[in-house]
Amino acid sequence: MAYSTTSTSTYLYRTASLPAPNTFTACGWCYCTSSVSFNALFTLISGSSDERLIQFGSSLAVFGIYDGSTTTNFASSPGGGVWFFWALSCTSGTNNFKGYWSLASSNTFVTVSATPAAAGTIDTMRLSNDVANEYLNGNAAHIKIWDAVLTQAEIEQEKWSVRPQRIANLHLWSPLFKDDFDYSGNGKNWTSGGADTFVDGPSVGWGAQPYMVGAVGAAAAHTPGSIYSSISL
Amino acid sequence: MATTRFALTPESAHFPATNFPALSTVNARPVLAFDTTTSETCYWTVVAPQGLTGALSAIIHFFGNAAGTAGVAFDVAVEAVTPGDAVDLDSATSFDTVNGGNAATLATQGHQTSVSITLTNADSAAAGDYVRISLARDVADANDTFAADAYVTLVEIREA
Repeated sequence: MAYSTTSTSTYLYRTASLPAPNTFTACGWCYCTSSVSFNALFTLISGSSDERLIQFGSSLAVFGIYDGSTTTNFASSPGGGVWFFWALSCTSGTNNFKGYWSLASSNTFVTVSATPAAAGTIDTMRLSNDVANEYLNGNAAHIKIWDAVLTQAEIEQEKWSVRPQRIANLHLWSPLFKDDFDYSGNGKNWTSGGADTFVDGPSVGWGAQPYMVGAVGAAAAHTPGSIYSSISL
Repeated sequence: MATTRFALTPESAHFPATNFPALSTVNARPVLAFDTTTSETCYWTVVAPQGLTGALSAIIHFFGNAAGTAGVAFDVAVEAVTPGDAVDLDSATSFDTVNGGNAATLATQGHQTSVSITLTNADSAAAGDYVRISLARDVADANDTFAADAYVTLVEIREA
């Protein structure tokens, strides 16, 4: 399932216990229906300034990241009408503000990087946006945020699993199935800008393994949830 | 005595790029929501367990997203690949002919029922094989008359 945001009044936000602008990674899945000019996916805000942002441009043919000073566009855009995976990470230093996207139908990751500008203290985090009508106009799913900078290899591991593969430094995990709760255990639920609506999501599994019943092996080799777990019915 | 071999949960399913059941929850229970008008498919990947020799069947546990008694038809297919088989996994699948079955939803919405489908066509799955199990709702089947989503909660793979 996925969270549907199709107007200025449908967005999710938080205003406390937020990621630092230079020590975070965010990722999720997105489906954009049509352009509203600068459809925003994910934004970290200081006061009235967007400090870290991933969004489409004036049309869905343009997709980029914004560091509060400069927009850096990807060489290509996922466009509209398709589910795609996206990620944004930042740490200080040359070319350490990084964006990623990858279509559901491809294993190729398109990347872009820039040197991040200085940022103020983050006081708002938004999924979609109601500022200047720059809402997502589509669907968002499986949002994961870390207080750490993940490598591209780690980010790629997150694509095909609703459940986070990296647990360390997990800040927030919102599957957005039927609620806007944080399932990381950190209690960082989203606040909704309007009534939440949920729709069908991308072709991504939860990330668990089937139970094989009565598997034989050394007890120490039995990892709960693994294909070799033994369960009693 | 029949033996349960696998318990295939919604959380362990994986999906094709299009026409797949939504992974959702109902009353905090994970479900796969199979549409009433579009035939949707999902998969599970397992290893055929050591000692597997008997006939297999799939028991699909489900309930409807509406009240009333009407039929829901499912197709289950098995793809078994033994190392060395001449199946190009890059570009081809080798699912055996589907095995079909149907059962009626119960009159009260939320009450669960099940359908047992004998996997006559199990692609000669043998111990140690890489096995994919495909589940689809067969909305084109004349027995599929339930006009709402069918929520699958669990699929048991049983050896006779």
